[in-house]
Amino acid sequence: MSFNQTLPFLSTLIMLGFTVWVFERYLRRRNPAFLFWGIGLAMFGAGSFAEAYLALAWNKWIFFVWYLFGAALNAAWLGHGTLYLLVRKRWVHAITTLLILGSLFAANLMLQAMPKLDEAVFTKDKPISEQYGTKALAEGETAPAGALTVETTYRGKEVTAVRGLLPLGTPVRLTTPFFNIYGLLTLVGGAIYSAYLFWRKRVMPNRVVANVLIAAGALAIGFASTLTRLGYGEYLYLGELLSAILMFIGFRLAARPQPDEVSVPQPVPA
Amino acid sequence: MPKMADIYIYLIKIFTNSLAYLHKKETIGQIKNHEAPMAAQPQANRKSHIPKDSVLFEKIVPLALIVMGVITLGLILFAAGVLLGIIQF
Repeated sequence: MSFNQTLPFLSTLIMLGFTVWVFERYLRRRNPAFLFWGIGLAMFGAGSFAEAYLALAWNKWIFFVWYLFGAALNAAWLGHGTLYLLVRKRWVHAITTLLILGSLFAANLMLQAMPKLDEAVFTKDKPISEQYGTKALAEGETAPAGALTVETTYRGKEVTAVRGLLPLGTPVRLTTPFFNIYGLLTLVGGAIYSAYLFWRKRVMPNRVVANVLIAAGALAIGFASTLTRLGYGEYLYLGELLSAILMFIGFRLAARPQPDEVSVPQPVPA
Repeated sequence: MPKMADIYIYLIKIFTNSLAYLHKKETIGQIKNHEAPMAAQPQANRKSHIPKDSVLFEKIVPLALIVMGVITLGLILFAAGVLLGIIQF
C-alpha cells in the first residue's frame, strides 16, 4: 500500500469526529443547516472509508458507496446546508425536494451501472480514483504503459479506450457535474459571501477566517476532483484530507464564541 | 358597595405603608446601592470587531476571497463544459 492510499484512513477518522460533532449540534439546535451539513459530511466520510477499504480489497458495493456518496453527492448536500443559512426557507424547501429527487435518480443510475462494472481491471496497487473511469483515447494518443485497453464504439465512433471500472458513457457519470456545480456554488460561494459580509461590516473576525477556511477546504476537494477528471487521480486523497482538516477547523472556529463576547466592558450610559 | 374614592384611599395607604416598611428595612437603599455596581458590570459585546491595521484582514483575507472566487468560477465553468460536452472525457 502506498503512502497516498493511507491518507483516506486519516480523512475517515477526521470526518467521523466532524460528522458526530455536527449531528450533535443539530440535535441541540434543530437547525436544518446542521442536518444537511451532517448528511453531507457523513457522505464525505463514507467516501473516504470506501477509498480506505478499496486500498485493501475489492467489493462492488463499497465502490457503489465511493462513487455515489464520495464522488457525486456529498458536495451538493454540504452546500445545501449553507443554503439554509442564506436563502429564504420557502425556496430552500423547493430545492431540498429537487436535491432528494436528484440524489435518488443518481442512486438509481448507479444501481443500473453495477452489473456492467469491469471488475477485472481493479487493482489494490492504485487509488480507486485512478481506475474508476474508462477513458477514450484521442487520435494519436497512446495508452499509459501497463494500461488495459478496449476497442469500442463511443458517440458513433470507433475508439480505443483505457479500461476502467465504469464503462464508457455510463449515464451516472453525467450526473456528477450537476451535483458538483451546485455544491461548489453553494458551499464555496456561500462561504465566500458570508466571509465578505462579515469582513465588510468589520465584525466577527472568527467567522471571516472560518468561512475562508471552509471555502478553501471545499475548493481543495473540488480542485482535486477536477484533477482526477483530467487524469491526475493521485491528488484526490491529499485533496480530501486537506479539505477535511480545513473545513473541520473552519466549522469549529465559526462555532466558537469570541473571547471578548464575554468580558468586554461597555461604556455605562450617564 | 364601597365608593371608588374609598378604594383609591385604601390603595394609597397600602402604597405608603409599603414605602415606609421598605425604608425602615433599608430595602430601597440597598436596591439603590446595587444599581451603580450593576451598571458598571461588563456587558456582553455581541459583535467583536476586526482589528485595524491587521495584515491578515486588510491584505490576506480580501486577496484569498478574490482568488477563491476566481478558482470557483473556473471550476464551475469546467464542470459546465464537461456537462455540455465542450470538454471531452
